[in-house]
Amino acid sequence: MLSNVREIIRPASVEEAVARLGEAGGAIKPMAGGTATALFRSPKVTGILDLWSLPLRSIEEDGEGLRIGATTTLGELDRSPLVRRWAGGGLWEAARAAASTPLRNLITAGGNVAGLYPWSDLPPALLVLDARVQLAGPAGPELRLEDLVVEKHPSSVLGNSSLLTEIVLPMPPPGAGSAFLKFAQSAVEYSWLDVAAYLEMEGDRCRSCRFAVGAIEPRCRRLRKVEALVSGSRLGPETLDRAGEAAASEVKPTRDARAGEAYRRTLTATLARRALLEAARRATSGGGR
Amino acid sequence: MRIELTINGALRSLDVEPGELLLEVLRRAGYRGVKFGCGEGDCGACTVLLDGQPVNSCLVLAARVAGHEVTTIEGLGTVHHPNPLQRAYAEEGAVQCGYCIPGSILSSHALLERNPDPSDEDILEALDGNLCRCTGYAKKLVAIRRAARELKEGGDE
Repeated sequence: MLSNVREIIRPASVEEAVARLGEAGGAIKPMAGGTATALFRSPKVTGILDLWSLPLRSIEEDGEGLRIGATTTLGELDRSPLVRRWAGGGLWEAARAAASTPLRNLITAGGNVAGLYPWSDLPPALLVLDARVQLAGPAGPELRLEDLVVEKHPSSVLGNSSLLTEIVLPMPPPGAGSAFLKFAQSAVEYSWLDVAAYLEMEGDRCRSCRFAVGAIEPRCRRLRKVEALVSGSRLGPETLDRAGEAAASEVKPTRDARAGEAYRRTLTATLARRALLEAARRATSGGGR
Repeated sequence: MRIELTINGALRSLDVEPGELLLEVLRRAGYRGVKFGCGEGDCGACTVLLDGQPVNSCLVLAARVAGHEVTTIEGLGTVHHPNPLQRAYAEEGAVQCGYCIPGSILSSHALLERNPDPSDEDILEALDGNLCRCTGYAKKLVAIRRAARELKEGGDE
């Protein structure tokens, strides 16, 4: 029981949702999957704006790329053949990595990004796919995902009255592949480390690389030194080893009771190598979209 | 506030508090097969099907399922007319204390609806949100494989 909640609002449109949030000045909290709302039970929340009733639950490909409505669940991403093959599958792997099957049927793509929780495994995978987010309200209409999640927590960008409505991924060119890896000791444990890699390949040479980590720092982030090292290189064992070392030195692990810094840097090197190798394999074996 | 929803195929109208959770409302309405375990979405004892998909009812506000369809273990079968999954769980020894079983069977049911011929990997993944701390998962695999076989042969329901 969320005993302080007095009101559940089901807005008829995104416009109405944003207007209600604006009037409420922070007393009403938008809720998508609702897992965080029910788990954290903030006594400050007295009203809930239920985003479920809005028409934001869709996965569509158009001329621009892949459009994911904010209230699409991770379970729906997992079951989508389009997501499964998008850029060889990195996004699909991230959607399956978070939490458990029943939780993934609640957790939404938009909430996973806008809330940036310990179970937010989606954002690093979206970062390397060069995602943009559509926003309704004062913070809108559009931002690069990187400008929403990297510098500050998304809540300080969105404020009380802006909503994330859609995630848009550009169409990957031919010869592109992506991969995502999560390290945790059980299926449902919060991640120790997420790594996401996206490569565009020409033969054994990498034309372009994006690489991101999550769960090991306060927020997910692209590691630009790793990207610079890999871009333009032949992707042999030597480059992969150097990229792993670069990732281990560029990452800034926060304190984590589960393991020390040295271990997690080593883990970063290992998973970075594996994710880059797998992304390259997918890129060269016709991963594409 | 009053909400209307479909529970186990029947239209129900229920009085709920705005902050009440689906788990609490279902148990109060008599669906005691829905169990309170951790209350944090970790254990899966409270699993129900919402529009056919397993969810943790301890994390769902009841008010938001107005107009939706909920299935609890009571909706799958009865003691005298068990669903093939329920019979297989019982006969294969997949049930000891039983606390996780309603959720586990509902997750298994959703799996078989989507994938009538699951691999062991598919089964274990479908159960990744239903923690069992006494029987374990070996007997559940046996039971779910058996139920899948029986449902495919179609002679049992």
